[in-house]
Amino acid sequence: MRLVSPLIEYLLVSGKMKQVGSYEGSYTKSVYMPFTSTALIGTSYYMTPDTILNSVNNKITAMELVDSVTCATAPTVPATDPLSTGQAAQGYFYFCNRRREIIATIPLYSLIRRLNAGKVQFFDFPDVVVWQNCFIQFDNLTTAITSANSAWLRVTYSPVEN
Amino acid sequence: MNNLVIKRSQQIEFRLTGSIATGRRYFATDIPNLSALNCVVYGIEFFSSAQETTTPTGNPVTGTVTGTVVTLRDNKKQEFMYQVPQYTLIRANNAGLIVLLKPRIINLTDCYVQLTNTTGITLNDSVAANIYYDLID
Repeated sequence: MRLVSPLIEYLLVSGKMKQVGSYEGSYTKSVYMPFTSTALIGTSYYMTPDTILNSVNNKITAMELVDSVTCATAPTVPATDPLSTGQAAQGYFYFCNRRREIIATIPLYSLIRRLNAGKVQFFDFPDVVVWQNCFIQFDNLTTAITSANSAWLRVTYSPVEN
Repeated sequence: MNNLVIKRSQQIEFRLTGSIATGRRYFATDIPNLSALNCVVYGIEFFSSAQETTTPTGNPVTGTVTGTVVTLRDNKKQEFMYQVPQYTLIRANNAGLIVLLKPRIINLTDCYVQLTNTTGITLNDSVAANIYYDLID
């Protein structure tokens, strides 16, 4: 027999809470955002359009920022260095809907899975997220981010059941 | 073991303006689209300056987290979360688990932080946090 409090039941059923280590999503892919020049404070670096992640038929369910300790080199052409923790602490990831409204603001640092005892960040957005409307912005660049760097995001998604 | 799922999130900050003193209340700055008592908060996470150097509004994040306590008030002015250490609310200090709350409508600008120790705290720095919420239709 398993006893579940009404509050826990509510949070689980309404999608506000999920079991750690449970199903993350149907598919996962890495996306890379190489910086073509030295990053600037306040500039919005939009995600490259992605046919899968842009689609209204897919829903982002989890995301991880791969940092330079998790993997030293990103498989971009040419090869780039993923952001370090010091660089990630300077920026935010903004999730946006079709009307470019910001649904969620997440510090890049808190998306690094290894620093959260292996727990990935889950999402269940009420709006359709359009990947190319999402962006990264830095508010401090004491630790410079150059064209040798890229933001490496591992995005997990599931098909939307229509 | 369960963890929070983000539906909507908003970066909030408590700016340490005026003077630095223990016990003094530093209230959350206003977020216009959340100021109509229209958000039900179900989770909260605080950040250290190692995790977030500057807030999105351009204010430096306080260099220490061990001398701050957090109080959240709901729309009935009830302090439902009273003087919880900021350190406790940092995800990385809790094995990656975000603190879940019983969902409540909060009055954001009524929520505040207080300093228990001013060592390492600089005037005009901000205590940074993320709230996880749902909008009321």
